[in-house]
Order: sequence, then structure tokens, then C-alpha cells
Amino acid sequence: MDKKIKTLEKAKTIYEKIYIKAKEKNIDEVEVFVSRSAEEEFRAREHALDTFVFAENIGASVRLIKDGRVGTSYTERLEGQSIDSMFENAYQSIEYAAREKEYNTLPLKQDSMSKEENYMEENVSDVNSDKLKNEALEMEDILYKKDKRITNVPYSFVSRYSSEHSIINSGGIAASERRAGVSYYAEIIAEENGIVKTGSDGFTTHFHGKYFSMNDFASRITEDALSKLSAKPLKSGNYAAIFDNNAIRILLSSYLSVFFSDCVQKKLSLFQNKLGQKVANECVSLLDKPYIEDGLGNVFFDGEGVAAKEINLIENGTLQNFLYNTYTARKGNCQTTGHANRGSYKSSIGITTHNVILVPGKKTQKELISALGSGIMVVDLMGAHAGVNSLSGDFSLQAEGYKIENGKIAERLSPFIVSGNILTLLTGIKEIGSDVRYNRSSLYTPSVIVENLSFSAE
Amino acid sequence: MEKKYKADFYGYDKNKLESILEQSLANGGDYAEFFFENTKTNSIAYLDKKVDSMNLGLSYGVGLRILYNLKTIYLYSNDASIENLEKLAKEASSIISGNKSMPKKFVNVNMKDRNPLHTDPFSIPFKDKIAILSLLDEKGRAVSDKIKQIAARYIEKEREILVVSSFGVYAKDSQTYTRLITQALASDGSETQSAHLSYGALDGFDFIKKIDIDTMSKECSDVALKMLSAGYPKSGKYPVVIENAFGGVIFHEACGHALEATSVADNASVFCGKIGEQIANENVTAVDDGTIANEWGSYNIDDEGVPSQRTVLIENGILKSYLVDILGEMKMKNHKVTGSSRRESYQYPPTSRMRNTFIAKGKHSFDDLISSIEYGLYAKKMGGGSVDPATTDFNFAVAEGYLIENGKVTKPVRGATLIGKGDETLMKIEKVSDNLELADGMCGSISGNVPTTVGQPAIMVSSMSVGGR
Repeated sequence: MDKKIKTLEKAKTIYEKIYIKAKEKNIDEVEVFVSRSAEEEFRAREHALDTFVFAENIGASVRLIKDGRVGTSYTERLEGQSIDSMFENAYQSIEYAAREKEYNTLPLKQDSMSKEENYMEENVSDVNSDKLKNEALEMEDILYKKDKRITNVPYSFVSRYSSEHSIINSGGIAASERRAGVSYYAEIIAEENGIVKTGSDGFTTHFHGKYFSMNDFASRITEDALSKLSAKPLKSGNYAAIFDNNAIRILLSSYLSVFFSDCVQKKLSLFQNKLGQKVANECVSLLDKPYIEDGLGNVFFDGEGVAAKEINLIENGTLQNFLYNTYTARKGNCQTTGHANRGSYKSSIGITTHNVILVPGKKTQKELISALGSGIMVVDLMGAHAGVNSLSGDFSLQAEGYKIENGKIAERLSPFIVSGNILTLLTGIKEIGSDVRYNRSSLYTPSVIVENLSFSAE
Repeated sequence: MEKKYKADFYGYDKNKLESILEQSLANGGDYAEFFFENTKTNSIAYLDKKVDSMNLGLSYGVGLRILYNLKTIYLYSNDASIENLEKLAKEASSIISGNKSMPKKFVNVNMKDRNPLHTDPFSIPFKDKIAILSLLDEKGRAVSDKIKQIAARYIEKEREILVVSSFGVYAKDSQTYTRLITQALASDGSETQSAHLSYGALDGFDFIKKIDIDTMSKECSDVALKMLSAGYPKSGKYPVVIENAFGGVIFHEACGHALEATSVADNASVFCGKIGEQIANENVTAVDDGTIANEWGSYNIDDEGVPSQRTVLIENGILKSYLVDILGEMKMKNHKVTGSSRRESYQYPPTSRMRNTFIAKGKHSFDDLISSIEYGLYAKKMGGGSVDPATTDFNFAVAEGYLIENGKVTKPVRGATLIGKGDETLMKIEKVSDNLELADGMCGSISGNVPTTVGQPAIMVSSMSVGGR
């Protein structure tokens, strides 16, 4: 696979074309963003390649600022006329935008500190396609062989992706970055005595063949599905609980917008007016880092081309910082932290995190279980898109987990509902483990002991 | 209004397209299909009493799918030029090693437009759309000084598609959607609650103009205010009455997904092999209807070029049909396509999905549902949910709830999630009322996010787990 950045030249060409038009219309600032992605997906089923997807995608967007008003537009056609219409659309939308001269401006070259071309590319693009296909087949085989109660492997899936994007603006920023990764995903069905249960997991890495152990991955999924076969219903009530590294990851990821300056400014953050105050237990420290080893949120620069800074979000329970882009920083009278979000050429500029790290403690998960004594260990949460209220902090979610008795895992539980509030959960965190979950998302969390929560089932 | 087909791919020479389909099957394959898409989307977000963001965009591309021995090859690209179609055909066919198969010649089909467009929204000036958003803001805030924020959004989308396939299909559709969404935030200083309300249709700006903005704003703000003073329901398992319209999300999650060929054909659904069997309470008749004129989940043709249909899924508790796409039909053999194959865009191979899915009207009154319940939950407005089709373990969130005590609806309650097993819950729908209504939503699955309608009359489920305190 070709590893050279291609969008930078494309972005420069589009920029030059748009810059001329912008001058004619007395536009003050111009930004062009171009991104390109490629993916290959292999899904194995019943010992053959079931689905093969191969795709390439490119898109561009433009942001214009005139007299403090912003206009944006995007296109997936990059030929002459479509670039003209993209410009016209963006220009047209300026008219309706709010005039915020003091806040709306693009970042400058000195904010970027970036080289023109940046590669986060490891060995992934060099791997032969057949190798990836065979991994999908092998993974299905391994899963079936783990236990005879595994009756169906609907998904055994390997995908390779590469993506690059380039930003050129009239403030002098010209920056591009490229990354490539490989993802594994599997889903299984286990059956015994008419009981049907499922298990699934995913793993993404930038280094092929370095961190991923197919056998461990398959074991984890299999053990999860098989343990559900003997699950017992939970009696509704209040219990002390551990959220394992996966469950706490899912829960925290639903509330990350509390750190977003745009949410704070729009009065949509639970942490509004809480800077410098205790928002979590002493033992909680939360960081955002632009770069860590194999970090799935790694960036050289943010969605506007600005160098991303390492930020302390919570230190020993005290709220330290919010995350800013150029607009919100000017509005908040501070410096941007390099956290502008640009999911794709289709998105408006918002705020994002890069790699969020819940700083681990010393105890293993086993030691946490022993410290809890009795209660529930939550290992998975479903329906967070609906069951999480980011304004009140309330959550009520379908969950999976185990009962803990006498400091040990006692039995698997049938699905139950766990309900609580993120603010009281954070202040009630009693202990943080050392078992950080990697390669699942850009949020890195160990298991935690939390205070009593409400559980509902029977 | 007569639809105009503007995208350049409608001008492609049909003989040329036939010959490229032939090239795609040069080394064998049971089916080849090109899906062309040109989608314009404009969205306006209104917040803090001003336009917060406006985004106007164009998505454009083509997907080539080849099915052979029940396997799928899918390639897509933004480049839909004839040269690139030939390149894609060559790449895809090079993966297959077999004997050449011949595509059928295109058959001319004259399709009636079931979803005529009433006023092209793209022809309406932005200021008119912004005026509606501003009104939603003003009216929403006027309800109470506890309403601290209104977030309103308007979206218009024109999706022009062309499907050509080796089954002799040359089918086009232009699908225009409009949608209005409002969210109200209520705060009393210590607590913050929100509520949201949306209306969407496969139709033009006339649909938006018909919405009563006064009522919409007030209804939304009222829910946010009510939830501000709401308590929590009890944790446990007890009867739940789910109101009409978006309440239908329960059927969508508990049953609908598990009837899609996506999971049925792969033997990954609890409803496999159950056609003709009783899978729901005899009070339940459920329909997935893609033919309702201008409804949010309707269309003239699906994303495989098959005309949309009305599909009865369950009749008086008996399973009648699955939702079947071409690959599903190939895998399951005796189940014919139901015109239910959908995808978010050319970036996804299509699969069987729901359209407008609802439980049909029953014979009970709303009072019949409530009166016999000693302690229960009345879920007036639902949020979203999700399901595992293999186990039918599902969840969905209650956005506006009330307690039922001694046969009466009493105090407001908030923040409850309901869980259950679909196959068990269907049997527990003991009463179905007669106030059937539909509501618009977005449904996410392996072929992306597609507009789907859910619906039902109010129903009584004899017991569900409720996430309370």
C-alpha cells in the first residue's frame, strides 16, 4: 500500500482556487481541509471469506470568515465545479451566521508548530492482504475450537484502515498527518440446554503483530459468553460495586463533554462553575495526552491545525481545566489547548479529547474484588446513547456482571439495570485498580470500586 | 410535484452500464449491482438565541457489490466516472475465480411516485427556516423562566439514487427529507433536565410549515419542567404501560431487529424457523410498511432497486414474515425479498432494515390499560434503545414517566431504563389500545443510520425490569 501523504497537494490546489474567489468577495480568512481514507475489511464465516470490502474515500471542506461571521461547506466531489459550489454554499451561509468578530478567527502558524507532513504510520500498510484475510479465518477457527457450546460465530472480522488529512489556512498553517491501523472484532453465540448467550469484543492497534494476541482475545470473548450460560437473576436492591475497566470506560466516555469548553459556555456542562472545586474523590486524577504508545487518540495537531497540549482534567479529585479550541478560547479569554474536533470534512468544529487516562492505582482487579468483599462487579453497559443524561448526570443502563461474595467472584448475573448519577459516582470512587484497558478506545481506564448503586432486575 | 433527476449518473448510457455489469461478472458471481448516490444535506443548528452552525454539503459516490456463493464483495469510491466503474468492476471480478455469468438486460419499469414532493425545501430561502428555529426558541423559553436553553435544529436532505443490477434492474429514486428538532433545558438552580421533540417526513417544506410551532415548543418545554420536579420509580419488575407513537421503539428493539434477514439468515436470531408459530401475545399484530405516502421511513424503491412493500410481520401473535433483502433471499431460499434493503449511503453494502414499523390498533381503551394496575410505570415518552438480536436482550430509556398507583396515573418519574427479553416481552403485551400513532427516529445498524418510523397504540406489558432507585 502506498504510504505517501496525498491530500496536502490537493488541499493546496483547492486553497489557491478558493483564496482567489475569497479575495474578490472581501473574505478575511480562509481554511481548507481535505481528508482521505482507505479501508479493507475481511469477514470470515463458516471457514470462508464471507465479506470483503475495499474502499477509498475523499472529501473536502472549507471555512470562510468574513467580518466575524463563519460559513462552512463540504463536498465529496473534488472536480472544478463542485469546488465552486462548495465555496458558494459556504459564502451563502455567512450571511445567516452570528457576527462574533472578537471570537471568530483562525489559528496562526505559530500555534501549529507542526511539520507539513507527519506520519503515525507503523507496519500496518506493509502487511499483505492475504495475511489479514487469513487472520479473520484463523480467528473464527480459534473461537469455534474454544468450546463445543460455541455454535455460531456471526462475526470474525479484521479490517485495515489508513487515513490522512491536511489543513491549509490563511494564517499560514499547512499541516498534514497520516495514520494506519488494524482492527479485530468478533461476536459469538454460545448455546446450552436451550439457553442462548452472546459475547463480543474489539481490538484496534497501529502495530500489526505487536500487541494483539488472538488467543487471549478469543479466550476473553469465549469466557464471557460461556459464563452467561449459567447466569442467575439478581434481586433488585442497593449494592456496593466495582465497575471493571470496560464498564467504567463506557460510562466515562458518555460524560466526557463535561470537560468541553463549548458545553460550559453553552451552559450544557455539569462542571460549569466548578473549576478548582472537588468533583471526584482524592484518588481520581484524569489526564488528556495528545500522544501515548499505540494511543488510539494520537494526534500531531488538532482539527484546526493547532498543536495539542497535555491537559490535567482532574488532579486528586479537583477539577483543573476545560478543553478549548480557538473560538472557545477567545470567548473564555484564554489560550486554546489544541482540542478542536473535526470528525471529518462533514463536521463543524467542536471540542474533542485525544487520549484520556484515568491514572491507575496499585491494586490488581483481584485485589479490588477482595477489598470489596461483597457486591456486584459490572463488566459491560448497553444503551448509553439513551440511558445517559449528560445534563442531570443521571444514568440508568442495561448491564452485565457478576455477583461478588466473600471477596471472590461468586456467580454470573442475568442482564440487570444499574442506575445512579455520575457526580455522586465520581465523588464516591473508593479505590482505583492497576488493570488499564488498552486498544479498545482512546479512553484508558482501570477498574474502580464505587459506592452503593441501585440495581434492578427481579 | 414532478421529481427532477439532476445527478450526472442518470445520464449514463444504459448499454455501457450493462456492459460494465457484465465485466463485473466476468469471473462468475450470482449478482452484481452498482449503487450511485448524490446527496445534498443542509443543516442549521440554533442555540443561545442565534444560529450556532450551518453546514451545507454534498455526498457523492458509487458502491459495487458482487454476491457469489452467498459471499459479498463490496467496493466503493467517490469517483463515479465510467472509467472508475470499469476499474472497480475489474478489481472486484479479479477476486472471484469461476465461470462468467451474464447479467439480464435492463427491464423498463414505470414506477408510480408514491411520495410526491410538496415544495422542494432547497428552493426555500434560509431566512424562512431560521425564522422557524427562532420561533421554536422564543416560544419554548416563554413557557417558564426555568427554561434556560433551547437547542433547535432543521435538516433537509435530497438523496438521489440509481441502482443498476445484473437482475435487469435500472431503478432511480429521489428521496427528499425534512426534519425539525427541538430540545428544551429546564433548570431550577440545583437540577437540570431536558426534553426533546422531533418531526420528520419524506417530504418537502410543506411538511415543516404544517407543524404547529406553538404546540411543539410548549409540549417540549413542559416535559423538561415536569422532569425537574420528578422523583424516581422503584427498582424491580412490575407492569409498564407504554404510550403510543415513539413508544413503538419497544417493538423495534424487542422484536423488529430480530426479524431482519441480517440475523435470521445467519441463524443468529431467536425467531429463526418460527414462521407460522405464535411468538407474541394474540393481541399483537405488527406491520412494517414502506408504502405510507411521505412517511419518514418510506421510499419508492429500496437500495437494491426493489419497490417498497407493506409487510405484515405478526398477525394476532403468529409470525408471518421476516424482512428480507436479496442476500437474505439467496440464503433462506423460500423467503422472498420484501423491499426492505437499506443503507445509509454508498459507503455501506445494504442489508434488511425496518421502515415504518408499528403495532396495529387494538380494542382496549387507555383506561383499561391503567385501571387494573396497583403499582406500575406509565412511560409516556421514550428515548432510544438497543438490542442483541441473538438473545433479544433489549433496553430502552424512558424520557418522560409517571407512576401508576391503584389504577391511576400519579407522580412524574425520571431517568428509568427498561430491560427485557424480546421473545418474553412480546408474550406479555396483554392489552393494546386504539390510539395508534407513528413517530420519526434514526436507526443504527451494520448498514449505517437510516430514517425509520416507530409506532403503536398505548400497550400494557404485564412485567418488565425497571431501573429505578
